Amino acid sequence: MISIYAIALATFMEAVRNKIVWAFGALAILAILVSRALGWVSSGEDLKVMIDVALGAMLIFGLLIASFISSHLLYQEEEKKSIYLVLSKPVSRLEYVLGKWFGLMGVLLSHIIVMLSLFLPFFLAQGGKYHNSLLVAVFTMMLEFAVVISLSLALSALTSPLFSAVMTFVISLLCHGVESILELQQYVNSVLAKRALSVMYHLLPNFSNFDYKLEAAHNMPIAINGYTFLYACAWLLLFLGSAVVITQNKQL
Amino acid sequence: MIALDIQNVSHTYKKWGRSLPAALNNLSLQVNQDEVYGFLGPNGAGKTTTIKTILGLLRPDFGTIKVLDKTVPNKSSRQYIGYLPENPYFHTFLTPTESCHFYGRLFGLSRKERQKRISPLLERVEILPLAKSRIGTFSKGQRQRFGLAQALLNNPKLLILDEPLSGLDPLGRVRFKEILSKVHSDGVAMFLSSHILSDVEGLCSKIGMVYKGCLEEEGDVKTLLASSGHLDLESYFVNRYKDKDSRND
Repeated sequence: MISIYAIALATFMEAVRNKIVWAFGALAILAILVSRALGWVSSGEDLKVMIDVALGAMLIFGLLIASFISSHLLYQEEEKKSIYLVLSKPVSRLEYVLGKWFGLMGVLLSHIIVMLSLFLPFFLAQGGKYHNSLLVAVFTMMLEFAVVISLSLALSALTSPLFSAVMTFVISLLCHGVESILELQQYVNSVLAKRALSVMYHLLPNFSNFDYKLEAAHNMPIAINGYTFLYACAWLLLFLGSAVVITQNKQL
Repeated sequence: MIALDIQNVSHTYKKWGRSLPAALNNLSLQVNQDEVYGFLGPNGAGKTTTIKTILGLLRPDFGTIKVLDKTVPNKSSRQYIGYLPENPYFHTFLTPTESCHFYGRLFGLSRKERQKRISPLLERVEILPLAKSRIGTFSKGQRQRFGLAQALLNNPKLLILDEPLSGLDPLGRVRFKEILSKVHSDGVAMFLSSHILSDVEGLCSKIGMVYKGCLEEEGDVKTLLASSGHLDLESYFVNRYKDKDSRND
């Protein structure tokens, strides 16, 4: 356990000292400020727009951090061979992957906490009222980040950093539109294309299960149940398990 | 007591599913606890591959490796190994103290134990004044000395050194060799790969010559030199490999 903690701590410290994280964070803060301006131009819906834009910014920049930072960190460890000094200690590759995952989760959790602590006072100062659905929406967003980080670790172990970062980000966006794939089937005539879309629908995790931005914006009650949590765990285990298997069989 | 026991180890790298020429070919050697073993050979002979298999970074296709009777790649086999890679790269954003805490945690050392060991160790390799500077700002020699500090953090019984003296100035090399001699006198076995043969000659009690993944010759330095009629290890090495330099293969 202490090895996992040590690797997680080092990963976290390395990531938060990375300028890209700060750049993404600054852009997310900017988006929160812009959310107010967008609110002004939407008559009567200004506070709802604020929440929608702020949560959207947290999600997009969180996905960018999860995709690009995790790929970059893993690549750098292998390319510069600092991984040799870690795996030459009594550390298993399972512990190494888990440590990386926890460290990156720490980065994403910090991102969410910083964004929330900036957004909430700003939102309340504009006359908004706190409601629990906001926190539930953020919690399900963290579940999504947990899955995306494990996907990124699996792809990073398999391919080049840029390819894995771009793939992770694109797949994450596609996963938000999984429902649309079913709708798209109705407009396609080719049987082969229908099959391909059907396969895609079943192969991709459905991130709309974690997307409660709309409910949070409209202060609607969100009833998350065990299914949401189990759904996240299933995809998380699949991707993280793949990352562990690939890393264990890797010849360094 | 045998610190390192390599028996009939073979390894072949693969590229796009195709096997490349064998990097290690039925290699066997032993290092006793009281020995400093110099592992020599031209570039591409299989020295770094051997070190990687000892550390469990590569899995051999055949053969077994034991470190202090623990079978590699079992993670307990790495508990008493100290390793200094060639051109070591560390997490540049950490200070030596933070890095030592990180590596110490990986060895399962308690906070109290880490605190007890780190300062004397940094002092021993003469980087204590830099304990709070980021490693990213270090010169190559300073990194090399910090590399030795992290390798000694767990009080190893077997020290594996891959080109430990590269990048050090003459004074640095002398100091580094003094430290290594002291470490060895404390009962640590060493397995050392280096191209600086004058240093190997001074440090090692036994050498092994590897070429194309095979151990071609092994013995104590003085006997090898006496039997071959060479005055020093460098002329012996050059004479032996000048006609079959792997760069010409």
